[in-house]
Amino acid sequence: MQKVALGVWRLVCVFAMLLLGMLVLSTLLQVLSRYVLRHPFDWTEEVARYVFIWVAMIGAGMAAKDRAHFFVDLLLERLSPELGRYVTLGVGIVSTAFPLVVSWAAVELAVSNQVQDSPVLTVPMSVPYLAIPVGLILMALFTLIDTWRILRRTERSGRTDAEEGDDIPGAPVQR
Amino acid sequence: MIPLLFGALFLLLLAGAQVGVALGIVAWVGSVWSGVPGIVVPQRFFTVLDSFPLISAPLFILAGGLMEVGGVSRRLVNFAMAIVGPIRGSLGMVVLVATNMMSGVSGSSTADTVAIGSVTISAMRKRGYPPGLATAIAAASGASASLVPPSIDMIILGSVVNVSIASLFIAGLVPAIVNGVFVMALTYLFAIRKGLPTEAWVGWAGLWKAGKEASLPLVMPVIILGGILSGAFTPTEAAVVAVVYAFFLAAVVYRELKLRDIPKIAYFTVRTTGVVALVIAAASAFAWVLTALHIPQHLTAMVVSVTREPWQFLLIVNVLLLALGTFLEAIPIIIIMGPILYPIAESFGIDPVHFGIIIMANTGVGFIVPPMGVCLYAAMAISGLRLSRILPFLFPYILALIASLMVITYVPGFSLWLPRLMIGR
Repeated sequence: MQKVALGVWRLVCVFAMLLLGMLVLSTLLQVLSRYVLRHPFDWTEEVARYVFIWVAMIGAGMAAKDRAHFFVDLLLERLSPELGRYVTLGVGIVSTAFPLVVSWAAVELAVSNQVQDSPVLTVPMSVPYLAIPVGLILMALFTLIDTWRILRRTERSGRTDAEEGDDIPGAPVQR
Repeated sequence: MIPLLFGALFLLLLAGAQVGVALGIVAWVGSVWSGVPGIVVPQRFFTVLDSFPLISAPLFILAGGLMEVGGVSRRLVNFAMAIVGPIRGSLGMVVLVATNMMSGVSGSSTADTVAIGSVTISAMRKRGYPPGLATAIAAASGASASLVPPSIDMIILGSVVNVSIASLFIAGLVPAIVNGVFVMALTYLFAIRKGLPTEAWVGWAGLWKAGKEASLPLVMPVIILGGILSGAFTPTEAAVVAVVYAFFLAAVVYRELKLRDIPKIAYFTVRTTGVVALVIAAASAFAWVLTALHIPQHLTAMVVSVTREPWQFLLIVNVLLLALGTFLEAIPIIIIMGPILYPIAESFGIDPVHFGIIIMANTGVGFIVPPMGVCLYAAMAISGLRLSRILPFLFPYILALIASLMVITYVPGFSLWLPRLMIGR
């Protein structure tokens, strides 16, 4: 499980960098084509919008791995370790189940949009739609591993410094 | 049904569930319960994320990251120090001024708190500031600067209700100064009571030198605002221009950006975008469920039956948003309450741009109110202090920001003067 997750993780990181590069490039080309070439490209906006959905959903998966999503831990810190474990387990279960359930619906949604093409690029609409189940499944996978790790270490799901690294570019990437 | 949904949301959040997940679960249960197929949840995810203005969020985060690694925070702090140095408690005021400047080049208050707090909290402690006060100042500065454009929250508000993002950007400037005055005045009071030190006046030459050093990053807000207001760029295009400018500054002018920093910055940009996007998506699904249950109509009827006075309505809005701000982050409040409150505000004849700034000032206070204060957490992470040691100092700052909120709410001129002057609305 851990090995699979690590492999998926490396792939996700490379993919995320590529997507961010595409996002910057397409929005930049939109400006440049209008002001430098004096002939705006018509496809840049659609590319940027669809790439953004992928960036957003992949990012949601990455944030689940680092426990970077907003959460409140004031109550958890005050519970007894025993009770804290049960609460962590309960929250872990629903936090894994929710993205899985929604990703099922999201796959259905993507499949039903397969026949429709996007207005400018004429790619099937399932291409941008698929970002949602992919991101949600990543979230479920990393939340599951995270919950497992916390429970095995008999720790409560408190914050560590690196989790607070939210929004700090250049801070060390936590493993 | 409604108390049940909010009760479940509150319980999930209290148990430590991630905000996006908690909102999503409640939205899912609510939609299935009211007989709508669950497919509506991923559909809302897609619809709200498929938006050109939102693309500016990762771009502003990226620009802020490049600036930060490029050594901009230090230069901004030096410049702020040269300006307010000789005043008692000046270091605390430097934090506020520098955070506001940083806010002009990045789109997120948490990022601003981290960028300036990490260079100033330890400096304040070395100069004899109580650690709790140092942390509270850094957090309050981030919250206070939330009205400075560009702001991701304003972009989100502009994309869920019908208000121009450009007007919101320009309208936030004067209220941000109002916030700043309140926070600085309180810092001054603390400085006198605690006998905090002054810093040496660097002289006009020193001010000129520090100003020159900080001038290049401070050109960026001018490019962003000027570009958007003149109609040259959309907010998203302005954001990508900001990325290019930040990259140029960090890599070519200051030469502090190394090649190996880039993957790290990219990683944090994508991850932070994911954090923001999940909350946007889930909040929007939750808002959809509320609409399907006709909550906005009920709420409108209730408010209208309580009062016909605009000032009373605004008071109700402030109390409601502050209460929500204690346990919800800014984004879900904007997405859920924005579309509900806007039509009511309109019926009371309140200017939509002013109302937008009121919402922003409210969510700004929420940034330092525990248990869900993101700027507070950011500052706590830097100082490593427990909440109980910060609270005695934090509480007065919360009150100062609420006082400022009241001024911003009841003096529309602060919000509307600049937009009227610059874009004639």
